[in-house]
Amino acid sequence: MKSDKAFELIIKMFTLVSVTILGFIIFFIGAESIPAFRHSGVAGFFANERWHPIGAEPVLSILPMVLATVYVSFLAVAIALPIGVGTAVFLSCIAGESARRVLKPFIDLMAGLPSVVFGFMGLIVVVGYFERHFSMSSGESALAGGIVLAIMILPYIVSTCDTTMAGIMKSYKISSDSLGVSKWHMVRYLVLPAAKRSVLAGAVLALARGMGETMAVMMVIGNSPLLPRLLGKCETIPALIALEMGGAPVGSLHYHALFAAGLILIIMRFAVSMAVWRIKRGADL
Amino acid sequence: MDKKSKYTRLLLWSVLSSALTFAVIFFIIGYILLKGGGTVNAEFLLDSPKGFPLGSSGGIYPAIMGSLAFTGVACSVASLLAISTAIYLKFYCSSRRLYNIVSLVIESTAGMPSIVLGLFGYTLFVLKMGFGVSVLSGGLVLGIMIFPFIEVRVEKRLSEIEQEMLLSSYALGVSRYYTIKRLVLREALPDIISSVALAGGFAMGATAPIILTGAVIYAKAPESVMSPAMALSYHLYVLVGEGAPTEYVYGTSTVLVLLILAINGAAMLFGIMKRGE
Amino acid sequence: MKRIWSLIVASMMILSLALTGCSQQPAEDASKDEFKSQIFFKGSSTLAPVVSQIATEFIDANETWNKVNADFPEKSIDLFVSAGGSSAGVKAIIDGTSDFGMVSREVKDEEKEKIADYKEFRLGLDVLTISVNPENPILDVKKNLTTEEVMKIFSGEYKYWDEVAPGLPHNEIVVVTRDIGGGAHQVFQDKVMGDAQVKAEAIQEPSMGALVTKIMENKDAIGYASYGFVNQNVGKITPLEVDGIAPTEGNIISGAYKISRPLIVIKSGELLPQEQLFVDLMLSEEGMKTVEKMGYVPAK
Repeated sequence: MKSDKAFELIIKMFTLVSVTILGFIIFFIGAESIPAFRHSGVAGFFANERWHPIGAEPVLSILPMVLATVYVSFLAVAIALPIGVGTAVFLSCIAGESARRVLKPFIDLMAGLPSVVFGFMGLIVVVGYFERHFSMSSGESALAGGIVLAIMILPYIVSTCDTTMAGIMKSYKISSDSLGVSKWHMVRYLVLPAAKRSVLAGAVLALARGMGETMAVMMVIGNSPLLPRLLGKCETIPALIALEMGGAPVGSLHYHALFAAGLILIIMRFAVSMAVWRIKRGADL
Repeated sequence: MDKKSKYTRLLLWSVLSSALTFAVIFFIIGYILLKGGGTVNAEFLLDSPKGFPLGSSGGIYPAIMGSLAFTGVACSVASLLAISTAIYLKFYCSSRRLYNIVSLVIESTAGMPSIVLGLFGYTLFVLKMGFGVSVLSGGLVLGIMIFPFIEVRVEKRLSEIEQEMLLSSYALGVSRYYTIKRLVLREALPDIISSVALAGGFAMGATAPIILTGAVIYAKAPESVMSPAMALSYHLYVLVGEGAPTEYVYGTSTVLVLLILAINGAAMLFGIMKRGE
Repeated sequence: MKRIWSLIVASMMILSLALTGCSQQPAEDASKDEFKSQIFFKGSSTLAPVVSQIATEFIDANETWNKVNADFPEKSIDLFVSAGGSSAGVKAIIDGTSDFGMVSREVKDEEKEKIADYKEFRLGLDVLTISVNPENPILDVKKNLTTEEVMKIFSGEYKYWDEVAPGLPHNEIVVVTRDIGGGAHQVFQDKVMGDAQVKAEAIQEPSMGALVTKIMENKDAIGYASYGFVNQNVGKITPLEVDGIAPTEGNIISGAYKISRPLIVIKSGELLPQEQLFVDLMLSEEGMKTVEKMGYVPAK
């Protein structure tokens, strides 16, 4: 049949196009990073020196940015995880079906808000608050970044945990009820332990997302290439790329160095995703 | 340990944390809408940005149109490719290994930080392919960003279609093309549209991918995909950075948030209506 | 349902064809006889508002090219302005992604070498004032800093305000700078810092506006604010004297205030007639008035 063959051909063609483009991106970023790695060696990227991509003797160490990226996203997960899991427990176990149906869309809605809006709110509310009440010389800090990022990843944690918990709740409800087990006993000894893996997976997923966040974090952390401290300024890899990519002419060492920074970020995220995959595989067993 | 107090603590924790979560959500949305609502009027929506710093008076019409253009290009390109890929993986891909490779590539793209995609798009689309700083370049980068988002959702939806139905269709000698067209897509279309709309909201809010590839601080409403354009998200970022009067910053945030809420709301409604029938 | 699906497929096919189709044309046609109605400016966040302002007035007054000059076709005037920093302006010219680059510093010789048939047009002069928040008590104690003191503040040798002058509070000095892509960053490095480095603790802002906003919001902040922005924000940000010379228009024109920088627009290759026309407009009396209105010292 003609239309059958044609359709199959079109589908295959578009799939090929997609996979080629996406595969090419990874290849391309790797290839564009090579000159930078050749300049200072892989180890040079993690030597604890300052980042000076231009000038007579460029130094391409991004150790402070790598640490800041990890620090800010871990901080965010640490803040968001207890709140997120608590909210998920409430939505799946305490709130009734109708309350859940009303409340859940707000979580999705929050996930859909653009990151510049979070950054703007963070600048006005969080950074402003720090400056007024903490006698900090400047409110921009890793903590401000962590709080803003925590708010952004909260919906992801809530969604993943809530879906799993609601499922567990449903499957045990009848047997628990008939055994006369109290709801709280069930939450404490059935739902929470059973959801452990999915909570972990949700946390790691949120971590990966947090590492790649650019705008919101960049607007509140001060962007100083320092080793991260809770109340100190720092600069994450996405912020570094966003700030400097505009001024690095194509083909310059600075340009290749930014691609290398991007590649390192991708590898970091990939490592985190592998962790999720392993956790998930464990969950299925 | 006293069981009762343990349970009370559990209850307290979950109630307090959800109170906090929803307080934050309502605070952010309420704060922006309340502070920005007063600025949003016909003039603000239909005028060009003016003043110094730019955007401190006038309106945001070109940015609204620009955002819609970026989102439109991103959605059309990404949905075409993503839906095709999902159909391929679900109905045509017979090799397990090929399936894993394609899935891995899609998953790695999903994990790609948007700023890195912007860097890539600048070199490839803007420079090497000669699209220049344009709606097309920016839209393509956004399209790549939302591709995995759509593909994963569509593939999941296609998997939910009953195997039995497909098998009986094949058994009746109905071609694969006809089965997909008449059975699968009819069944899944509302959810596919809803996924594309959600992805559109995601693309509209993104700033990092278009900083270098398509967004400018001043332009008229875009007339062709080959010209650069303003975008609400980028305009908001520039306004915040320039220290423009806050009512314009809130006004721009309000419009951006309302647009995205409308898109997401429509997507959700679509899903609900469909389940209701 | 069938119709919807085929409609979607058809429209997408057409769209993708159209996209690939028109992608190849502009690059070839623009250089030939097709009239190029778009002009793209990229670069300095200091200069961007000035060019945008001139562009807005030009577009509002004329709308189509044929109203400016009867020889031009009836095509709408499309002027685009994009920020990103002076280095981004130079980069855009080297990469060929913009028609004009806006640069608020001297263009370095090694950069000029990379640009074929380099051309520049000077719109005005700006200086970097060493500015603080008006609430900063330093204004009551010490209105003047030497270049060396400025250097010590920015390099981190002076960490607290009381080290700058006795009697000031023991508060940390919050240094605000541009990122390395900013023209101001390089001007300041050349004219003040020399071989010393700005301390790593400094806040890097992505635009001059953001830098000035930070000083307005933080009473311990100090930064190199552009003269134009100081004029736009009188009372919200206060400049100090450097080596006894205040950043006034007289001192800028005479060259006495030394942390100065030009505001220039650069271009590679010959200008098209319509581009020449807009450049002439920027350099005209009217354009110079806009430069002055924005707080800078016009070139003419």
